[in-house]
Amino acid sequence: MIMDTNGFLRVENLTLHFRTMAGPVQAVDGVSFSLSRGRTLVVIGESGSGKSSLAKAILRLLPRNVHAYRGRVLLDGQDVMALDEERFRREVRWTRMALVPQAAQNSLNPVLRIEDQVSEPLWAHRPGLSREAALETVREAFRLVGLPLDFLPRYPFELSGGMRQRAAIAMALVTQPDLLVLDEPTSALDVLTQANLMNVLKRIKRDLGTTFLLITHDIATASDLADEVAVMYAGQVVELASAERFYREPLHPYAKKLMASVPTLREDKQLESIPGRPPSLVNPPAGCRFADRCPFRFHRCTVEPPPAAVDGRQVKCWLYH
Amino acid sequence: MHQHDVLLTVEDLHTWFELRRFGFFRVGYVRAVDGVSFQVGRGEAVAVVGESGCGKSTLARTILGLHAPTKGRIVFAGQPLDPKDEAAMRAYRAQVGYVQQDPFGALPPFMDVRRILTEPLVIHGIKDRARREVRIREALEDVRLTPVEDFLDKFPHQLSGGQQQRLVIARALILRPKLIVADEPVSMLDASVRVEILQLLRRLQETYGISILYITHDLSTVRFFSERILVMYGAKIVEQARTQDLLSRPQHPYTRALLNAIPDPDPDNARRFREVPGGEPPSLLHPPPGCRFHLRCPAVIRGVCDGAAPPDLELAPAHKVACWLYADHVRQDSA
Repeated sequence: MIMDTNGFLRVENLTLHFRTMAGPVQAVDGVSFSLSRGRTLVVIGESGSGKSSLAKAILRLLPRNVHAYRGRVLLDGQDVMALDEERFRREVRWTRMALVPQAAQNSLNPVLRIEDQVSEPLWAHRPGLSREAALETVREAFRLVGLPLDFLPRYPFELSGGMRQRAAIAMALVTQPDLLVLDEPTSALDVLTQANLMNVLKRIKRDLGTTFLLITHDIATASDLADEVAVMYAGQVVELASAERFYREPLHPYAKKLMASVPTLREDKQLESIPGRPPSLVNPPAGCRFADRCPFRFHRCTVEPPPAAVDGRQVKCWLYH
Repeated sequence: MHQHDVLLTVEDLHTWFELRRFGFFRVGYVRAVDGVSFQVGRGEAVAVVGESGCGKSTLARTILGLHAPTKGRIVFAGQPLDPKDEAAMRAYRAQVGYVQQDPFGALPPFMDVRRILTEPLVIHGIKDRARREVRIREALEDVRLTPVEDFLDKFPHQLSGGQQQRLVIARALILRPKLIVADEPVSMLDASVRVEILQLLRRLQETYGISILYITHDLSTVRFFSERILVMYGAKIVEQARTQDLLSRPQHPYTRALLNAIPDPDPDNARRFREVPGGEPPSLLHPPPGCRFHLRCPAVIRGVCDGAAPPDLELAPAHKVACWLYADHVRQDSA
């Protein structure tokens, strides 16, 4: 592993398969990484690569059609996947790790006032807390995400998309979790709002030392927050490296191609697309999952899945062995 | 631009939507497009950039003839449009293609590819079956949905997102239009597919000399795609220039903020905060007086920007800015 083995969040061989009519879908397949306290891991991937399923698997927010769910998730050394559902709900979810869901600005309950909604995790997890104390915590969270305090008694429809998104982040922060999982936090927002929100997240990271797991398809925006980068393709992490090394030189052919497809504002470059489409996750290919779109493919790629470690970073590719 | 090179002229265009309460009392107007003027040359790709709610889609739909303008006029190939003249509008629509944002939503789910492409040909009176078939094949080859036989009998849900968008483009092309209006054609697609769709549009523009009006919120794709950029904010165009000029010498504070806010993939980004104005875009129901950006503008001049709307100033050839900072008397006053 590239990061220390006693990382704050360690995920080992995490696997989540869904039962469907066509057969089990391997949405997350053997994902491993380790993340130190206060650092940010960005999970990059295109739609259907399994990045949101990875977030769900870590927070154990599973739908009913789970076919297989195994592996280990260690939070500060404790195997939280071994806990039963009630203990996980009470001791882990939203007390030690919280989620800002995808399209969070639409995830607020329209008939609850913002203050009641944002303080809800406190009622659930800190029984006996006085209303005044809870509201004080909410006010603090509001200041942190840059929401004016006079928004407290308002309803979600009175807030703009960016402000609702901030409220959703505040809601994830009130219990002061150590780990915050953000699923596409800015993708539905406008450019300026997005930049403002990234500033908010940077400030939280600096001031509170929160550990972030950021799930996104937007490689450029991801660089605003990333310490480490994981690239997902067809349910697997194909490359895992420090942001410094990844953005300067991605190694996996898919990661290279993906980077070449990102239009840049300041730098001249020839944009490239990736021909073909990702494989079916019901019957994924036996060898490397990117093999049939890969320009560097050779015989071994199609028969045997590549192993994952190269020189201090994970690259799942035969080219580097 | 010479007069004979102009394909589309938009003059002082206003599209307002009436807001009624109880379906009876008029309570105001949403001024979605509020005094917009520009031209598109033949074979030129022009991008309209703006955030959601700035009126860019309404502008596109007004040009397509889907909304009647409240005021102002649209001149296409020398002919002013008259929304009341049905026959003329039909002829106009045959010359203007529309590429929608969400390809799946834009394709009828119960029609196969052949029928989807036949429909516009039938509507516009191509009765000869063999000729229609030839056109359909050409259009599919143009958008690289090949081998054509594999696609003709497919339904939209059997195509990938990129293929669906190619089909939408084929449908927009099938009547050989002079202008294509593409409203966020790639924002629903993955990064790797985005490039391929933009390159396809670019190639068609060059091969057939089609003009393209590219509506988007994403400045970074615009750079690879268009000759000119119009920046829209609060239902007005605040700056327009050639792509290179706009990106290297942005003048309007809003354009500058927009450029500042867009990151390139770079690990150094994590070490700095971005300077962007806070606040929200203005309400189009009750727009602020004066410049619509003045409430968020870092360079605001009190007593000027909140008074009258700024005039369009031509700073350099083909580079226009609507901002008081560049008006002569204001500059002299503050000097």
